[in-house]
Amino acid sequence: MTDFRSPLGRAKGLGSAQEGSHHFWLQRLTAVFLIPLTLWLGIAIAMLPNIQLATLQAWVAFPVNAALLTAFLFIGLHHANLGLQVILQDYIAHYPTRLALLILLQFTSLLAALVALIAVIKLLLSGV
Amino acid sequence: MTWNDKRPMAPHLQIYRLPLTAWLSILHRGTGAVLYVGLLLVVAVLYAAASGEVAWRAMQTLLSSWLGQVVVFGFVFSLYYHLCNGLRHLLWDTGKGLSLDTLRWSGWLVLGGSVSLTLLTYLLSFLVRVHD
Repeated sequence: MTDFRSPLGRAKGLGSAQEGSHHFWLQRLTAVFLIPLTLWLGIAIAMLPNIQLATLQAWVAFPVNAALLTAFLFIGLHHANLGLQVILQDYIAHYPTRLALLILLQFTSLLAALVALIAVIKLLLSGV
Repeated sequence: MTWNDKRPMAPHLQIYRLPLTAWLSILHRGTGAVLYVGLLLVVAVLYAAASGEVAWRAMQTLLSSWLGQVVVFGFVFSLYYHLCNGLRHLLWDTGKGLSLDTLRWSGWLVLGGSVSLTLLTYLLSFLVRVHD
């Protein structure tokens, strides 16, 4: 079928999906969030007097710790998910394999986030 | 096999000595991939803790084996390296720090910083922890 659209119209139809910078932006935004969260978590874990389960439960039972730990895990997993996605897209040339791995990656990241949330909630409740 | 082609050859990866910036760039990706697996491990540790005393003790035994200690050390270093070099990346995103000289010293700074932070973390946990 003949395409009667002008060159400009064609270019517009095939043009940007308006989300080219979305991935880039989220990668940076999550990176910025992770700076204080990582430092906080590193110091907090290093400061635990011992690694008994009761100590960990008591630590998570403190609401600020539970909230920040969940934030670290969610934002960290999101950031890692975005990063690994780019690695797969860069190095896996075989498209079907790449697609399969990308789907697996999304599933793994989502599942890990849910398991993390449930584990934190359970620890939070058992440490009261 | 000997190389008989007399034409000039592009300095490919096996010939060209990679500059510091290239090694650090590779290390950033490498530590990033390590950290994804590391985060899954952190989730596994939390899951073990949430599952009760038996699972927690099993996880403790696993992580205090020599292999477990190597993995934890690798995770801690990767975390600090990726964090320090990530700061460098964020600086580059503002268009600053991109001259060759700056890249060289900021690269060494990142390496020194991440090694120091790793050692400091271990020192801190050693000093704080009650040994019995």
